[in-house]
Amino acid sequence: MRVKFTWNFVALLTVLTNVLVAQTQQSKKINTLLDEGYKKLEVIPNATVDDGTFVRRAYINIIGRIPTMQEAKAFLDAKKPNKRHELIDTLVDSDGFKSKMFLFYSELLRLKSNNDQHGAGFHQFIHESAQTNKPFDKMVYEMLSAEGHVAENPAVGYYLRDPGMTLDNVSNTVQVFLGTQIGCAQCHDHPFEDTTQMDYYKLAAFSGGFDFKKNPEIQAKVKGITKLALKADDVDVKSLIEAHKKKFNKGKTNKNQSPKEKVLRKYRRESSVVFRQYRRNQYHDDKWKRLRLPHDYQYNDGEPGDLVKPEVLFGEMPELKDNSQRREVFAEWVTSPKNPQFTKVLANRLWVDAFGYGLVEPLDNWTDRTKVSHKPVLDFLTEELKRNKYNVKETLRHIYHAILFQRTVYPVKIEGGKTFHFAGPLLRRMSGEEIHDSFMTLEAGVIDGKLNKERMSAWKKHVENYKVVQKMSSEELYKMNSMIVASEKAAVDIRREAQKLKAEANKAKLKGDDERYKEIMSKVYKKNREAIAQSKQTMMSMGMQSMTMSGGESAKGVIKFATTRNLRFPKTRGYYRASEKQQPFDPSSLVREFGATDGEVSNNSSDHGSITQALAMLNGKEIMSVTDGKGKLAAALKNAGSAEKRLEILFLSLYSRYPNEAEVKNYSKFTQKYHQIYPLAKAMINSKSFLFVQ
Amino acid sequence: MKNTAHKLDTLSRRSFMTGAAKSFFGVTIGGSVAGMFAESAWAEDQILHAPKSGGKAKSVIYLYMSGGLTHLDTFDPKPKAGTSVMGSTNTIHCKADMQLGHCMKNIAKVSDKIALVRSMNTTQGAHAQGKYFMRTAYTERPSITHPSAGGWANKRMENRNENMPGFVTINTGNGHPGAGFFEPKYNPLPIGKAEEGLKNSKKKHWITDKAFQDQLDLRHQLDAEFDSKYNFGYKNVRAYNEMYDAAVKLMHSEDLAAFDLSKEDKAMHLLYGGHTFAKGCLLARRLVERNINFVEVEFGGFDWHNDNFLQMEEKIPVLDQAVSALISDLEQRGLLDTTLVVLATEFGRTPKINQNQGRDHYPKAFSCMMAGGGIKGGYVHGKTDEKGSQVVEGKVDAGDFNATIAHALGIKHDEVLYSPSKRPFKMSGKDGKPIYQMFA
Repeated sequence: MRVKFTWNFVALLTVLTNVLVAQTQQSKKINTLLDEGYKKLEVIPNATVDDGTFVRRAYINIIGRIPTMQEAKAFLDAKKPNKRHELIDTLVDSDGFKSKMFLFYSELLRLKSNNDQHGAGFHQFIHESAQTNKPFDKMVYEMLSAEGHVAENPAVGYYLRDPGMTLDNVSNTVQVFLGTQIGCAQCHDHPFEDTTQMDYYKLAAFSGGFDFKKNPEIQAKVKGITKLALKADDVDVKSLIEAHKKKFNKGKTNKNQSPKEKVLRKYRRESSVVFRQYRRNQYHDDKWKRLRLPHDYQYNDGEPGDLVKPEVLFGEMPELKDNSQRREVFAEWVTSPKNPQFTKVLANRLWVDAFGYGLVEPLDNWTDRTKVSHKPVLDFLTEELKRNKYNVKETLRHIYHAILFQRTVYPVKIEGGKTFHFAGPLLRRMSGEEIHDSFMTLEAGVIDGKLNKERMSAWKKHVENYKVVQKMSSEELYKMNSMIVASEKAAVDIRREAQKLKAEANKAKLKGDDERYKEIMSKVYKKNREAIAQSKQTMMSMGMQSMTMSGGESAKGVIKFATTRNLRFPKTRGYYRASEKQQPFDPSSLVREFGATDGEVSNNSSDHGSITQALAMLNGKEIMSVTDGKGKLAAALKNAGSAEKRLEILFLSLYSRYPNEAEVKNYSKFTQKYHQIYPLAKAMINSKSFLFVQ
Repeated sequence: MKNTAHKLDTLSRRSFMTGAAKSFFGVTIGGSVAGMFAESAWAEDQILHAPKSGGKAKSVIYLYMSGGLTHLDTFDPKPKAGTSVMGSTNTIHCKADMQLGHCMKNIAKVSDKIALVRSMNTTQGAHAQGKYFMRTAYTERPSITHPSAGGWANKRMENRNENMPGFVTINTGNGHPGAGFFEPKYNPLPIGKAEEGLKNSKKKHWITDKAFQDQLDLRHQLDAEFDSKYNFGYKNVRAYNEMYDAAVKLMHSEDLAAFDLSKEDKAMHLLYGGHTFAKGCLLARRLVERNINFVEVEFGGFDWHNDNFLQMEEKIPVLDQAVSALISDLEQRGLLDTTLVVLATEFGRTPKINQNQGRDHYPKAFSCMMAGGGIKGGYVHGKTDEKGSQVVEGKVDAGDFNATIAHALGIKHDEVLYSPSKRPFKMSGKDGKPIYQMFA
């Protein structure tokens, strides 16, 4: 009885959830608003697609890859009337969705994983935000108000991405999050919009205190180390000052010339070795630093060199009591629900993710003349985002549940800037990442949840080491510092030789003499190895092996933290989704060949076709790896008992549908034997039904 | 006003008749038919295009310095401005009547072959927009992608190589406008690293010719239904048919050898240099030898907000060696008269040296270079003030610059072509005019 009851209960629950997951209230609202729009525009929306087209589209759009043969089959064979909406929910709640969102953000934010140490930190920040579905306003606020070292606050990676280019960073921020282009106002009034150069500078003044080098906390620590170093060398600072005063009578002569300064500077420089990498991976907001108008300022409302007071571009000016809060105030203004641009720019970007074209185009250049397609839909999504507190995942869920997501594609290319009636989603080619991830799926099956543990543990280690350094006493820091200094000094001659040789090698290379380059470089490698050995030996002799830091951390890790300039992205072996790899992809990779972003400009991936893409798909190593007889697809084909079965496997795996009668008739002769299957398999991967998303 | 209108009228009448010739006779203007429309019949055209000196170039090698090349430290030094402007850059005097930054000692030796434009002036101070403007002569618009100069050349000129596109880009990366709104077949063949050549161009040896052919045939069969549904409306769908056909043709072509730089001897590699940009220049020459109309080579990393003078010492010598090698190599081979070498960038750098010893973006005044293809060697066009901060003579913008390239190639710079959305565009942008003085 009891067992039966439980079963009934489960069944009831299933029925209930089925009803619940059918469509969300919000998606119904989107349907209604679109229908009203179609009526007004006198447009008949497209018919809905068949199951095969739908399952492929849902997987690629929602989680960034084609379905496996099993996934496609399970969906096609299911008889439940509600299966499309169920699939949408399953996909939105899956690991694949997180992977897709990571790429969405990394392209938007121009992630470069290999930049110094902070690239790895920013990678971590974006990865974590995508994994946890961090509310978008919170994510942006964290970036725009970030301060400190990247190990303690990886969000600073956003600013560290553009060191020394505060002004460019400001225009980029406004373009990406507020959909407004003010770049030209950096040098002159905007020719078409109302933005003046003064407006630009007023906005930039919020971040006028950027300092990528100085940090008072570190300066204090360096002072502590310097003190100990002077003591160790028995340098009497007081007598130096006295001597100096006697010589110059007053202490106010050129500081750089005084012997005291000379001695101190040398000590200070040496005492900050342990923080050498620290500086370029943090930044500090100097509240005394303020922005001034440029030297060639040409308008009447200010003089070159005038101080600029922070002021927002539009909307409400938040209260600014103290300069030290400048960036918090700026972040608050950008991400506030009251900001007239922030929410709708995001809503529009999410819409593009599902349907391939914006309700407003282009996405990042809204002006007074901007035309909106289906304005009520945009308004509704904007309000929904405010209501659900910028929950990107839930908002996308509503969008996918809308009936538009099931309509046949509109096969005409819309030129950016025009409004579109959205009778159906746009036909598009798979992105470079989607092709990559689909290949991976064909080879290795479902790997959506496979995170790059090497990257994560490398970052964790880095953070731990940072914390150890933070806690170290002056004595410990001094000891560590002298160890690094001594080990560097010990190897300095060898390194110098290596550098000389390397310069010589580079010269040869630039001249075009590759043989000579290689010859000298082998010597360079040898010298470098010698130098490392020498350094190691010195550290050993100073007792590094036995030395432990507070918290029991070994000195080795801390030294690594302090001396590693570039926290290189670990080499990824084996199968991973594109989201678990270094961003942006290597220019020579298949992913880039198919137009993936180069990380220089926000959202600059492209869907152009080129001869070199065709060559890569015909002869490249990636496609060879899919058809080389290894991996999941090959195994399934090998185990299949008949020509028909093999054909079915190919169609399910590559087109996410069963072959129809005509196809069975036409193509079965190419699947008679496993080892003859190659031409058809490759032709299918090269065909448009594979490369395009219908 | 009346006059302009009249000119336009003539122009549109002419393009109507050219079009008519095509449709009535089924031929492009040429030979005897051309006579009907040329010379005397179009006397007014000669007023529009007064100097006859253009049209000597058959190919263009367009070198793009990405990031904004400092004009003060290269083509437009100001020895009298002092170190506050010039930093550690010294000036060298050339055999031609021009001065160059001290890192350009090899270009100085071929200064009698080059012409400088020292009066470039645009309003585009951001990289992406600046690059777009220089390459297309139009400001970036969301509604359309304009063709780059190479796109225009590819569209307007006869392709003299039957195996590959008449337009090749080397290391130009994402965001290159290519052939813009023109048909996909006018898009460039993009090469990544010159020294790696054209990748994936060889069939794997274990795949039989038959299997490869079967695969191609099957793809056509598989695509048939897709094409019947979508081919009409979507350029990108059509593009993939053309791309595959072109790719297969190229795979079987002898011109593949052009991409193999190991065919050049060591002395040639030593002449150009070992940097990937140098290899790009060498590859460009090999492509021009095989009658490619337009080769663009990009050299990135000139955005020196920090340490302008340190970066200059590393980078400009690479540029100097490769460009001077290209010019003298082309001359040696008798190709310089028919090959226009262009060096362009999106903007210059501020005369004021910033706190990081760098220079910031400066579109108000900058320099570009041309050589060969009928260009007057040793000529300097335009002038900036004593600090290189204002153009004081002969302002040139991206439209004029593109028009000059058109004139060198014998393409009408102001011929109007329509985008699929029926908007009119010209290679010279809105109102660019060739710099006729640049021609010998």
